[in-house]
Amino acid sequence: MDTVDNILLYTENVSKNFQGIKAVNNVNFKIYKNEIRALIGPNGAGKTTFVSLLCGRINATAGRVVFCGEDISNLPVFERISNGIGYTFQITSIFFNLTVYENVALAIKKDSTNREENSVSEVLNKVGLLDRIEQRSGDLSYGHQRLLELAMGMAQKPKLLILDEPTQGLSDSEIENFKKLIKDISSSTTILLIEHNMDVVMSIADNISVLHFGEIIADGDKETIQNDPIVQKAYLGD
Amino acid sequence: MRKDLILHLGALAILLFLELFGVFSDYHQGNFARILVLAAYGIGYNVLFGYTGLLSLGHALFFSAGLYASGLSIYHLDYNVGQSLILAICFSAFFSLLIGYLALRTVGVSFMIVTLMFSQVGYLCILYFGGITRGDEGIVIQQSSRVFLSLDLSDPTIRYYSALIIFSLCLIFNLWIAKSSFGRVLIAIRENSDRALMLGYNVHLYKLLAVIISGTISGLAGACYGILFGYVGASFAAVPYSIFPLLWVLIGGAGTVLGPLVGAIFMFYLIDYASDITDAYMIIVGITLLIVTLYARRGLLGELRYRYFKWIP
Repeated sequence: MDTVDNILLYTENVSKNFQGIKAVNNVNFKIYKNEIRALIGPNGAGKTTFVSLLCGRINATAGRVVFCGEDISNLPVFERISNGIGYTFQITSIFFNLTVYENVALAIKKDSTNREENSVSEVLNKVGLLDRIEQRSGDLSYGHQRLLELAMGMAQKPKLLILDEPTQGLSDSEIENFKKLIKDISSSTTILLIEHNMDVVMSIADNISVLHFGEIIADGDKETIQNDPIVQKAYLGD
Repeated sequence: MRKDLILHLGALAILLFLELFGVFSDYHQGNFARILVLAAYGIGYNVLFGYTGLLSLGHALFFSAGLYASGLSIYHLDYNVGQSLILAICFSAFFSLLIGYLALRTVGVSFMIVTLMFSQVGYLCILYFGGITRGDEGIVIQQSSRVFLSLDLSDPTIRYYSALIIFSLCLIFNLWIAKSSFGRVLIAIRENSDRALMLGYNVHLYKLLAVIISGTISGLAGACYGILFGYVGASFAAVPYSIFPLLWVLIGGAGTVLGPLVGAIFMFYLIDYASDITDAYMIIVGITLLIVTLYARRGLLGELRYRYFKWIP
């Protein structure tokens, strides 16, 4: 598993300073192909900043990001996305005035083998929004908007899909549905999951990285992380 | 046939039949020829403002770029109408690329101010180089120069048909954009540019293309205006001609293909009738615009689309 060929993305000493505050500090991070990796950490640990450095929403102050063997540190965000990184937003960010169909169609990666209509229907069928295809997305319920956000991520067919707190604000039954969906997507895509809900993390993640004050303090499988005294201290205090 | 095609081709057919069946008096025929060319300018403006969500306050620069490129080439270089139109299209495309490249370094209010300033620079240049442009006084294009394919473009009927052709071309092009995947990306940028970027679209490039398309259509409309009505003057480069298309688009409905036409007809006849009533006609115009914005915030066609006809592009 832990061979160089299996690494989808890694960072070398990536840092981000905001006016002297080290939001992300010298992070060395690896994610392997086909795993579900959870990124956890207390509020303000720098999780969203860190994944923003990976997909290029924010430029790093220092360090390198390598994706599929290529140094993407200097690529603009749209090229990183085109190369196969998908990102779904923590705060629902869809096109509220457009229909569900148009939202997904915008996300679809064009390929000659499948017509746009079929690709959109296929994705919407997976998330269970097919019957709302013509509805204005701003009129959907919050739970359905989160599903649409996920559907847009899936439609991009990325090699790495970054999900930024996808279950935030959802009911228990909706969370169960999300867990199934993420498991389903992971058969074809590597997933980096930022999540606060430990039940979700423990039930679907293969491996966990813990970020604290902008630094990775632990990295490993679920049992290792659960029993790590440093992680316990970071979460529970002294 | 698709509903949207029927609507737009139907509107063009009405404009054609009004002339064919002699419904227009000479006065209204002249007015509508003017409105059609100005509505083409409005369509150009709408591509940038209505579809892409970029509010420019300096589009008079592009309108006058086309106007002067064709007017000066006819006046000084004896170009014929066809040659001057080609020059005007190339010149306004190049000009919008240049201005777009510079102005798109800014966003929001700064973009509005920068476009306004560029437009003022253009206006002042026209006045400053009065030796060539004849400044405020402007240039009259002689009737003998306004001939295309042996047709006298100063003839009111031919002028109307020419204006209708130009408007139709712009309208169909706009309709195609609105229904294409390119247009969908422009709308996505208007709605949520951050998300469009995170879907892998080169937002900056799309905005630049929108400026070029918008500026080129505006320039084409400017060139046609000069040729059809025989006058090229600095007043077309001044601030009001940047505000007019904004008003037409807002009143007709931003992001609707027919909106600029509806807005231009409304504004033209509002001013026309109000000035029959009083010299202080701007009071009537102002109050009417206030009422329209209060009760139809999305513009006339925009409101209809929002309430009843969601399929209108």
